[in-house]
Amino acid sequence: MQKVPTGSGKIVYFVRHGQSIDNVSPVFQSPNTPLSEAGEQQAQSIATRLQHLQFDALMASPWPRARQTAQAIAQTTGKEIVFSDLLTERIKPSSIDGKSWEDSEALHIYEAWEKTIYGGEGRVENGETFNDIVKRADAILDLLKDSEHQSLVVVTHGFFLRTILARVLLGEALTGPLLKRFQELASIENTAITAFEYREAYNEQAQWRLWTYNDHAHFADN
Amino acid sequence: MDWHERTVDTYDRSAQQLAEYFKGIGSRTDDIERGLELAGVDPITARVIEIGCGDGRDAQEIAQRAGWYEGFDPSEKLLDLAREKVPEGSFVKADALSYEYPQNIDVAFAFASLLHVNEHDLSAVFQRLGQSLRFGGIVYLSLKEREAYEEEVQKDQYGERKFYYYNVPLVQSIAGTSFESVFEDHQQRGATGWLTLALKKINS
Repeated sequence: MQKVPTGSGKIVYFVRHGQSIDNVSPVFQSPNTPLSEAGEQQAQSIATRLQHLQFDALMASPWPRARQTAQAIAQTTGKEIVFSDLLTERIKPSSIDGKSWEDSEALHIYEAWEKTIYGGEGRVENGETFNDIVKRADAILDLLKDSEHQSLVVVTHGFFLRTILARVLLGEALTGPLLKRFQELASIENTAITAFEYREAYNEQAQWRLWTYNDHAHFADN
Repeated sequence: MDWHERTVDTYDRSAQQLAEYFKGIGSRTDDIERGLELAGVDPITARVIEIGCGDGRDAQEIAQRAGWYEGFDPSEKLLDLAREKVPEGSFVKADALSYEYPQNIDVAFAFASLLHVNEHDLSAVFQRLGQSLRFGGIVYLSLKEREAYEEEVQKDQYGERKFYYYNVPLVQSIAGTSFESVFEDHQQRGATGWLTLALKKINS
């Protein structure tokens, strides 16, 4: 994979973290779940691949599965990791973290929260709402746009990355129900690269554009 | 700019937004009352300092309860907010190493402030606190917690800051034999562990 095609813009390579233990357990994933063994291999694989990519800076969500993935990338590329809470996964109500899908009380809370992340009224415990997560997607896109670096690798999470994708593609037209469609219909593999460029085109104002989606060619190396 | 200056710069630039964020987390009233109680002193006569008082969120609560209060912080902009919020409070621009620690202090509070200080400097801070506190006096602090000591640069909508992660055995070894642990609490916020610790100055 080569650097920015136009030479004039900024490019951000988002990487979803490697597979976590909770990714493959019948539980509501906890912020603290670490990489599984397969996830560690995926992290090595993306880290090897990114050795051949020219980029200026490495950022990551501080949650363990993303942190471990970023640490693997830091090892092969020599980049220092800058962490940001703006890159965490969607925040579910903490009371259900790590609970079984079969726990009916947890499921009830999850379903109530899920309505709010897709635009429903109210807030469930400390869970993020649709407005919260869209605001956070805007905040990280602004931060990256204003960064002094021209090319960045950013390790984050699946749901949040699809939220960024939906926001970039739909802009102000993004609604809760449309976010739900993106979450259900856009697959992003563990450690896949989804890249956005920020540049001007055809006399338009500079804006974010989707450049690469769910690239997991490095899986072929395994 | 080194990391200390960059961190202070972030607090200066985003003082107002960070003050809003701290307000959302809420005052540490229970901890303040516990700290004063552990010092075993009548609050009316208590001499209290606050390390990294920020925008004065907790200064308000401490000053209401304690006879004498002084807060310090290296961020001038946060101090401006603190002075506005608590006109009766005394506030000084200093960091944990440059502050002139007064004598006979009953309690030193440090809520989420020494997490910007590395282990080497934290050791120097405890030396100063050891001279500043009266016997039986309390250092009451909260820090980000991890199993191993780690440093991390964080960048968000407020700017760039450097944080250090501590744990109980490490803080105890840094504090040394003239401090004894009298309270500890562990909380989880998102993926971040938070450690609250009260250490009493003893005859060693």
